[in-house]
Amino acid sequence: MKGKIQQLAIKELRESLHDTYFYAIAFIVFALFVFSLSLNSITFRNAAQIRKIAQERVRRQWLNQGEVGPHGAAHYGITAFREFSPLSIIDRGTMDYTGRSITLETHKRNAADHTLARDHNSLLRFGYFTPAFILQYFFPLVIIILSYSSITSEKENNTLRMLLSNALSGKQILTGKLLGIFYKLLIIYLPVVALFLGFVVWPQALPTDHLLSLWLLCLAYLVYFMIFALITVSVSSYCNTSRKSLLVSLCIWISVCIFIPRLAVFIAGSAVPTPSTYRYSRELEAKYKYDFSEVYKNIEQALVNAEGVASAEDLSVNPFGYALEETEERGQKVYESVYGNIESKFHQQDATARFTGLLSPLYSLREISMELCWTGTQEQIHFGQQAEEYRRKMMYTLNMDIAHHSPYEEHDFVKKKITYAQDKTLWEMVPDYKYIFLSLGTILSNQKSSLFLLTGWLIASLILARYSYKKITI
Amino acid sequence: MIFHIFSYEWKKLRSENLLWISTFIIAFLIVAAFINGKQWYDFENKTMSGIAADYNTQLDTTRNNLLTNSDPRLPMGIDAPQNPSRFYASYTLGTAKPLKPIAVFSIGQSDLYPGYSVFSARDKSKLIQDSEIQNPVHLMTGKFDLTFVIVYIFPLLIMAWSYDLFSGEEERRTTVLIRSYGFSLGRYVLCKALFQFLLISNVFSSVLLILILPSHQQLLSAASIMDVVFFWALAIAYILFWFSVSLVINALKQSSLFNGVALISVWVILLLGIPYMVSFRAIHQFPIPSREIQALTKRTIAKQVDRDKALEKIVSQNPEFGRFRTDTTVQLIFEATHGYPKYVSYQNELEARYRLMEDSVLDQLLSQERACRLARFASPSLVTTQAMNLLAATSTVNFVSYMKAREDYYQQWRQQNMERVLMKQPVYLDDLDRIAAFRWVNPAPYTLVLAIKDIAFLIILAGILSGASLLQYRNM
Repeated sequence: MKGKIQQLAIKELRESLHDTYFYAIAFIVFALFVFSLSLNSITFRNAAQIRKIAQERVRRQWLNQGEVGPHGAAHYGITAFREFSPLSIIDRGTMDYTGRSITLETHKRNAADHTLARDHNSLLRFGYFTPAFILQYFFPLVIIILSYSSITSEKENNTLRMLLSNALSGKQILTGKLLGIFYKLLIIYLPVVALFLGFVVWPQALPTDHLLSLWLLCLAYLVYFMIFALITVSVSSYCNTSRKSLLVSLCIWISVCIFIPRLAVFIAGSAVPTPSTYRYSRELEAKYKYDFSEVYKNIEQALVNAEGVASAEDLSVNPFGYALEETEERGQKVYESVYGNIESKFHQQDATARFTGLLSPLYSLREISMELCWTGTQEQIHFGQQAEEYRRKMMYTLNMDIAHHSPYEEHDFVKKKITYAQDKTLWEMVPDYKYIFLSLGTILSNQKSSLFLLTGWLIASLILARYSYKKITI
Repeated sequence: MIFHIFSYEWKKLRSENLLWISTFIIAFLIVAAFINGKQWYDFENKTMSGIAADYNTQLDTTRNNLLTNSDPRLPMGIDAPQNPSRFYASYTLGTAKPLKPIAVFSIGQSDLYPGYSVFSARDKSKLIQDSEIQNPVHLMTGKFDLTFVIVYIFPLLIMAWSYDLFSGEEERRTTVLIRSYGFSLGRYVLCKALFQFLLISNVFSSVLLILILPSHQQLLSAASIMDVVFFWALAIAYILFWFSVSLVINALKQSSLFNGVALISVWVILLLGIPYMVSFRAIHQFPIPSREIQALTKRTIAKQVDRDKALEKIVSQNPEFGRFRTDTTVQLIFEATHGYPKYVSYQNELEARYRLMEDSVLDQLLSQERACRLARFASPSLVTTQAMNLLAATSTVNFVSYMKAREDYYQQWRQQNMERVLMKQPVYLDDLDRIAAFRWVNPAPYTLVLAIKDIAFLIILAGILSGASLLQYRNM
């Protein structure tokens, strides 16, 4: 039996290999990927180079700022730039719509700034020509063109009778056809995977996590293509004419790729609205209000009590540093609550959209693809949290230097000039900012529901195909 | 003849239930897009009203504080409401670019760029982010508004209706029958397309008129009604264009299958391919310096500017600003060391240098946008999208102009207050009345001439394509 299925699959493949259209399609797809990958890898390499130089120069500026007060240095701060994985050559995800740098300074946690979308003409909204864009939108079209008539053509040419009389059941015909389409798909897809290796892996030493992620990405896309192939062949089984089969398949493509993703976002936005920036800012202002003189007095008193000294002048430490640290801690709590609220809204929106995405495998795939390329929302949130962690450590170092090394009388911050200054020795104690990507394990764990949905789609398409073979009759 | 064909098509549609299904789909899409647009419009305008209300509360509070402290103590403490340095740091102003009522149809770039700002003379922004906080996935996907439905979805619906205008007749072998009725094939196909065009346009117009306009009364105001008319005309012209594309593809006398694939290819080229190429060209023609480099430059400037020198520069240019050195009636923040005068002068110098860099970015962006606008005739989808965004004042051009205007307003406010600080000039009640409110006027609005030009382009193009297809049928 397996031999007959295999024969049918090879026949399907052989027919395509004799067809100029097939070569034309394969060539167009290949050319599109070469063009897109070349363009994106140049952009990536330039951006990575600029980012590297910028981060190094920020460090140099920090180290060579000369003799200034630690609090003045804290105001000057540093700028943390977000790093991108070479996999972003394949999928840019949300990277054009999220900030790439954060100014880390005292008293406040700044949001990531500088989105590329705002430095780009409005046509960016029509879509960015990335390999992921081709894989998500064009590839399903290719699959439809390759398979919409797989069963209907047999019906229309009356060759189905011949196949059935050849001791082949409807199930075997369907399996053979699917296998044939799978071979054709591999002929087009494998060179694309090779291109990914050539453009993403070959030019740089890719960390193991990223390399593994690339393979998972290729696998996820293969699952997505199989879903489309299964649906199209099932549609072809149900339809009597190729025309009807093509139309239905195209309608499915339009719904899955164009309509439902936007609808999902619309529903998620309506179900879980995000308060305005103004409201968040007001909330932050209201929560993060303090009188520094009061904080200072309280800290000073607490230190006097703790050290059991007669007056503040006798303290072994400077209360100013502790007061600054106290305000930092207060700020951290407030910012965590506000940013946490924003992140929780995003999570809820994503969950709602994912639920609507039950109607489209693209929604789940898009999430998986972005996160596996480290260009999704999770990575952006991670960037913000990581930068904040760094900022807190940096401020602690600077504030504690004031507390332990600055003379008390030099920090009457209202009336007198602050003369205490530090040099490179202190600036070097603040470690260099290094961006660390989320681990692949964390990404996969965060993407459990999307992976589950994509698998669900595959199973549902298999069930659809399982029942559609019944329609393969004369 | 037209009546016969229309009547036949009508019966056919009703018998296949296609009419009700299509009407439902179109109505659903329009209503869903409208609800989304309206939500965004209400959200933005409500926020802006909230800012205005908060400003009025602040104004009343400040006024009361000034009234109750009408006899300022001398020397004036830093907490006194009249104290210029306190006022410089805390009195908040705002700017807003309210959305036009027609923006419910075309959200455009309003989700990406700032629609309002809140600042004091000291803090350029009192907001945690310059634009609305939004889920990046939502920004990437784009808003589901009426412009999206018209530009992206309508062509697909039109294709589903008209891909077999002629090929269907050929495949059903009814062309002989048509000829036997004395109809020419070209006219017959044209009538069929006309019928479908009128039907879709009618459903679109009816939903707009019956469901949408009454639920958003502002659209019916004198100021907006022309916007609605132009928007409608653009949509109709765009629908007409897609029917003409379908006519041309059908005139190639290929199978329905070929037509379907060819129409989808045209859709992909016009809606994805050409916009990408145009954008790509504009980016390379008017490159914008990397933001990383800009951030670095800002840091360098911040280190280069010396507070003492900045203050001396200002005082030497305007000797009257040196009054803070001799006047002891008002106590400024960081008085003893003249820290605050130095700070405001330093900020003045920084802002002036930053402005040069920020303006150059906005100018480049504007040039990119102009290049895209010039190239719009390469694709009718570009013509329609850009026209709809311009009509709704939600295009990048509008936002860049707004950002420049708000910057001017902020700089003016900061400058005035810097002078007040340096001259130790207390704030009086009538100073509050003299604060000029920010008034936003859309620059070079999408005029009648421009709208007619875009609409005419779509109609003429549709006419040329239909004419060419008719010629092709004549040769059959």
